Amino acid sequence: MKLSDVMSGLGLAIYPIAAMGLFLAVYIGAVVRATRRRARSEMDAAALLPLDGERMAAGCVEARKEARR
Amino acid sequence: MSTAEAAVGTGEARAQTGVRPESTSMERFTYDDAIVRKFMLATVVWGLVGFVVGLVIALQLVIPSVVNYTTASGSRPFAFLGFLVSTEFLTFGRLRPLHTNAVIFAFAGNAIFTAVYYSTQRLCKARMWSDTLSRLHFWGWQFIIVCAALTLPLGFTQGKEYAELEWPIDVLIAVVWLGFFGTNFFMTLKVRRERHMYVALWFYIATIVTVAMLHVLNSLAIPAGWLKSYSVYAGVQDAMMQWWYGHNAVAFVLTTPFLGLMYYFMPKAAERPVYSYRLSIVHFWSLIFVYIWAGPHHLHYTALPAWASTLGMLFSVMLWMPSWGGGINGLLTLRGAWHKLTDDPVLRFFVVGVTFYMMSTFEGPLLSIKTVNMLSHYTDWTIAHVHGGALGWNGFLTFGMIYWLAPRLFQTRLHSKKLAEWHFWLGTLGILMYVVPIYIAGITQGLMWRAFDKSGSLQFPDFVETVTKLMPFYWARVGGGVLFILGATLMAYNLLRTWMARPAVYEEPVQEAPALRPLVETPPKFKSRLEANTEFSHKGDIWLQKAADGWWHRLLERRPAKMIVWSLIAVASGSLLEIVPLFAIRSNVPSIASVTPYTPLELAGRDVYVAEGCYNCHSQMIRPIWSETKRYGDYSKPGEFVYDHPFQWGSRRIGPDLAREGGQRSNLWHLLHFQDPRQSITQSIMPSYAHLLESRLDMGEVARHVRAQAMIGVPYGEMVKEGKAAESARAQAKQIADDIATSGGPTGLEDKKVTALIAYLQRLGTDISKPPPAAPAEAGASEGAGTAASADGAGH
Repeated sequence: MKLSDVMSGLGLAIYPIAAMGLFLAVYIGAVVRATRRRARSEMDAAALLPLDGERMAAGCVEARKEARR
Repeated sequence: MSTAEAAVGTGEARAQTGVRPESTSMERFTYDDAIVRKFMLATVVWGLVGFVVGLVIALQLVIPSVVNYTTASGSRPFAFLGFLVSTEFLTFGRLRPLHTNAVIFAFAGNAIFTAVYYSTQRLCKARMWSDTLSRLHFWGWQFIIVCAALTLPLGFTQGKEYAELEWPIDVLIAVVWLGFFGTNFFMTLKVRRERHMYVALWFYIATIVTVAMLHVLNSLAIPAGWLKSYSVYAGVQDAMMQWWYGHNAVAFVLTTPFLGLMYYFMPKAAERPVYSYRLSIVHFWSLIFVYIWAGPHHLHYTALPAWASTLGMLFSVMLWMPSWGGGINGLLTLRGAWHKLTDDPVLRFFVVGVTFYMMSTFEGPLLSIKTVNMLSHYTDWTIAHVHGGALGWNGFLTFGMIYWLAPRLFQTRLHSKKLAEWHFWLGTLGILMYVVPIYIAGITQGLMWRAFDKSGSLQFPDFVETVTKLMPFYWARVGGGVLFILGATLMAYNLLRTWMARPAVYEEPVQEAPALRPLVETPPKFKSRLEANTEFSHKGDIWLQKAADGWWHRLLERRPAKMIVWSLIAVASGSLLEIVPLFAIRSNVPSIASVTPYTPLELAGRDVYVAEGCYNCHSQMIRPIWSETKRYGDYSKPGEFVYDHPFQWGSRRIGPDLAREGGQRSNLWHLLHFQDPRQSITQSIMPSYAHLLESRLDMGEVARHVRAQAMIGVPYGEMVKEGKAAESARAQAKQIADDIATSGGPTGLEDKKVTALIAYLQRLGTDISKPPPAAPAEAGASEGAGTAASADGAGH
């Protein structure tokens, strides 16, 4: 019996569906992480990282906060 | 930045989120911008080279239609262009891989490194970990490009699209990519002074990890000499590996690093933070996980099992969401700053670049739908699609970045904003003038191939009719290419003048930032909400609460090693779960008893076919579609390709499919056709391969190649013994040469490469009509290969 015979009998074709489940779990986890209320201030701080030490349009951060209220 | 804003960006925000403030002892450091300048220069130089080679191959498709044009006075004004379709080192099949490699790995590759080296240092508040590794990376990568530029026109190729480079260069790529670039990048993350890794860095991580995986697995090959190797995969499995690699080269070379570039440089240029950082998190994970599955959509209706191509299609359609999510996130970064577009060429390049990204990522999933793909596959539609993405998205994002960087890196004003604006308009018009006619050409081709007349016969049975129809569109493409190159040349001039105005000595501003203390984060205290009496349930509930709180993901954002591992898991899980079943389940590639290995001479001919890059214009895959079986013969079966190392299905039909070419025409016809295609088919646009009538076949090389094939499992039996392969090749070559001579052709072709190539073509697609060999499998295979093919060769 060859390895391919053994593999053929294992029903591996179902595994792409398992990977789909894995993806959904990761996706839901990322959405949860991104949308938690607590995460807002962290996200705002992280979004500013490229602008750290650079000139930024006046009032930009305040405008964002205002828009969210 | 105002005081309040600075506070949000650093200490205040950290205090709000409960993260400990970093060490208060400030460290002083400088950024290495010299390496960024080097990569930016390489981007411009190789970009121009890649674009010009693209223009040359565009010209090669139209020149044959004018080179023989004769005026009333009998002169041939365009005859001087004939060298472009008759010079051995300049044929379309050899230059097209040079164009794709130059644009993808030299232009886009150096652009990526420019972006990574500039942004990583700033986002990490740290100089690159090792200046030596930075330099080794730069010079190593340029050396690889030079090797590619020398070997591809000389015909040294593995014959797999976008992975053509031979094995020593492949090894060098792995060393430079992982050993120099990867190590330097990951160590810079380790010594960073900013706790949170900004999302651009995640995209860079995914790029480095995934490209390494794709390159190593797809390039696995057995060397048969210093510049010759055979893929360890064959036929269907090789096709699957190749397009898993090929599509993900688009994903992880032309998409993810450019998204990282977009997430860093668009906020810089707009002077605003990205529209939604939350969206960028969802964008990242969904994009890298979904993209990796999409490759099989390049193989619809081929001999690939239907489940694999359907899976590829479904994931491709799903890609619409993350791609557009990312595109919208990029465009909305300009909220409140749209007025700047009228005055800022950098933002204009970025906005049009992202718009092209959204167009391409709308069209990509569309083309992956089987019914659309049935029309579009093998046509110029695909070419228009990739050029919208490459010129629009990669090109314009790179140009925008360069115009933004140039004044900062050269520490002076940009020489001419006016020239940058001219570049923008020439580039935009150039892209449109390229893609619109080529879309029309692609759809025209597809419709002509499948058109039937009232009697049920093909309306355009002569393939060349479907080629000559496209000439006006091909000429328009040349015009579009010229405009695009003109714009890029203006940029090069603008940069040169900017560089000439640089200060005598560049300033190196000293930066200050506190060092990161070791990360000791205590997880929030959660209590189990369950009344269950098992420890497992309590732990599970606490784990879920942590997940819902974002605890796990926050760890990833701060720990590079974990981010690397989980990115690798995301891309590897999709890959393995798609590829392993194809390799492991026997029913996916049913064998055909009458299919035997190529004879030594046919194998040598196949090597010539690969070296000349014939797959760039000819497919070897007849889809089970009525118009195709009517035009070319019985559809291709998976079992027909089990000895094809590498597979040669191709992805485009500038010329007709060759899967059932064997026995269709005489040996003499093929010989004359190679000598001068227009002698056989007046309107042909194929280059002349007269050099194959002069080049000698190295019989020692033939034997080495047979042994290499045997090493990867091709049952050559007795053929691997000393002298057997050469003896068989000589005998078969003599039969073909004699047949040509008796038919009125030239004599003395017994040891010429063209004879081997004819032997290979005469074998193509004939196995399934032969009776299965009666002898035991292995011996029968080798003997059968020799005799059956000899009969083929002699019979025409």
